[in-house]
Amino acid sequence: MDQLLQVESLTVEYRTGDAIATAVQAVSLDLKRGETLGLVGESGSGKSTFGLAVMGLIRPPGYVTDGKLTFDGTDIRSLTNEQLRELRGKKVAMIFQDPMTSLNPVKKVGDHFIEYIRAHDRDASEQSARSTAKTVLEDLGIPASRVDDYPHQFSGGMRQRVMIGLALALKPSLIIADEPTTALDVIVEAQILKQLSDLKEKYSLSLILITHNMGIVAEMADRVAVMYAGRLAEVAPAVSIFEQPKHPYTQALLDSIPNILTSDKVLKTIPGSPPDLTTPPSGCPFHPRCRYVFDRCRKEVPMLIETGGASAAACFLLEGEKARRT
Amino acid sequence: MLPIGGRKSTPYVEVNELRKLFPVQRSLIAQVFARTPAENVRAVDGITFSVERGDVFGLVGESGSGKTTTGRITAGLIRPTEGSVTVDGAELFAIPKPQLRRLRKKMQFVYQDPLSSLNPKMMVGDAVGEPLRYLSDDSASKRRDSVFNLLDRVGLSPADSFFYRYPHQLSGGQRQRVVIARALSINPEYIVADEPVAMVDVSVRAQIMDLLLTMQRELNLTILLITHDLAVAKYMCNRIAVMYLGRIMEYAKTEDLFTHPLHPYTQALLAAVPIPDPRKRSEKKIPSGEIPSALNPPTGCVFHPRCPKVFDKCSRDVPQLLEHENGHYVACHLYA
Repeated sequence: MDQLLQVESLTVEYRTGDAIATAVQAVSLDLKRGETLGLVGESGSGKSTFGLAVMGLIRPPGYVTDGKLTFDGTDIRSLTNEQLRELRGKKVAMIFQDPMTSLNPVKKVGDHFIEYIRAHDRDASEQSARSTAKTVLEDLGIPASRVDDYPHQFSGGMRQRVMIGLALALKPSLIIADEPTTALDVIVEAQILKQLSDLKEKYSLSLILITHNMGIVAEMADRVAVMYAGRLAEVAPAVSIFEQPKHPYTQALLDSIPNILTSDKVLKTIPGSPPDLTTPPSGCPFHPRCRYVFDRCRKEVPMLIETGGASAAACFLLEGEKARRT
Repeated sequence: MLPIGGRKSTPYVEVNELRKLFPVQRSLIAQVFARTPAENVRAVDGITFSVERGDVFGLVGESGSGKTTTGRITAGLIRPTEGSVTVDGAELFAIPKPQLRRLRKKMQFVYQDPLSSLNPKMMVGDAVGEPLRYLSDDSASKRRDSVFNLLDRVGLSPADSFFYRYPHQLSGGQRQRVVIARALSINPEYIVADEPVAMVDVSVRAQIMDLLLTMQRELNLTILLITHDLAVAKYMCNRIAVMYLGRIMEYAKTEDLFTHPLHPYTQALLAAVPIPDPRKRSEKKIPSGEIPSALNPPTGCVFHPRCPKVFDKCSRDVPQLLEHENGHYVACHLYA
């Protein structure tokens, strides 16, 4: 597997009035071809902003102030708007959380496809766009005849399938799915996730799955990146994240979520709440809530430290561990 | 009446053959010209259950299952179309107004979204003290003392630093604590909590769940917890009723429900929950389709069009909720 996406030291700021919120700060992440990366975090962790930056969709008051984004050999930040339009849809596509607000209620489902396809591919004819729509809908288990229905005639799950279909329409190599099942009920969620992984094989896609749900990550991801307050806390293969979490935030998060399979009644709560990004804590952003906090955590920002097995975490505690290993 | 819940102790909330239909708004033209009968959404369709005093009872289901409507009726917020609700021995929709007013002091509702259930222009202290202004005879200074106490109690301490803040100056978890403090202000006995952690950050959810459970223990509250999240229900509840399209499909002690689910719908729900363990990835048996419209629910068992174990009887007869094992009830022809 070779690299499809390389993000180096990405920083994104939102400037509102006199406040600056650094939504993503010095985040470096790679994605291999065919890989599913789970990007986990709470609201305000910067996970959605990261996805938008890869799409070249950061708009004022948001600004990419630093970093390099290389997609399949192309430097995304150097592209013109016209070139970005080509990249989006054909190379990278995004699926958003709420299908009802993403679909136009007075436009037929098929017309969404025609508009989307022709916006990114000027040469596509209406007929060819329409037949693509039918093929993709069939792939998603929706009869092609429903191409002339309106979104309100579809159930919630089918609307989200339409969103996935739109993302697939131009056969991109990367799909960024931002909380794609959060608005859905659990059974429909399971159906959609299953379909997403089947289609990932069929269309040979890479996937960045943005979610707050550790269960979904465990079901879907090959590798997991955990974000907290705009920074990357930890990145590791999925099994390592769940079995040997290195960062205290990842550990605490896993200890605080209820699991229907385990019978132990006690959850460990994490004190406090995620910080306000306009006034982030000094040093490590997790230090006010960390059970292992020591003096240095309040003063310096920890860098990512390799912990072996393609894992890395940003915590001073790991420096000692690394010294012992080498 | 079905003896759901405890048989020996008297239940605190008793719901009997509860039904709630919402009429569908038709346009004037449809009303005048179309001679079709008025349509109704059958939100709750004949359910019976009871909650023991001091219990945490879960109503679990997907959207459209009728769980929130049921919760709102048991808190006296809306009237049922049919059936009765008895709270602490008094029949909620049959007692005279003054008595209902007294009963209301015992019941409180905690909503899902703390930001929209708090007045943005009202300081935390005033918001928490508001129920006391209307429902208690306490003096202003006494009410103020109670509010300080409450804030401390729900973990908003030091209380004087939170008293004068506005909701927008708080985090999501802190706001939900304010909502809980407000619900507790008039010393209720019964709390309906509708998805109390659904909009709270993941790392803060355990705090809020533990706060509700601590308050429940210390104040011997009876809690009706409404949630779509089976893991939350498992963590918080002693007993759980699983709802689907306005009916109760299964009812059991929490442990029995999770170790030994009987209804094919419950089994499907449990199979669908993503498990935070990458080694437990497996081919799941997920039913196809989605919850049908409550405007026109299926005949017989409402789950039959999606049920993997469906047989001819299921589309004909409505299965009754019957006791299968000790305290474990299921509405399914497989067990009849």
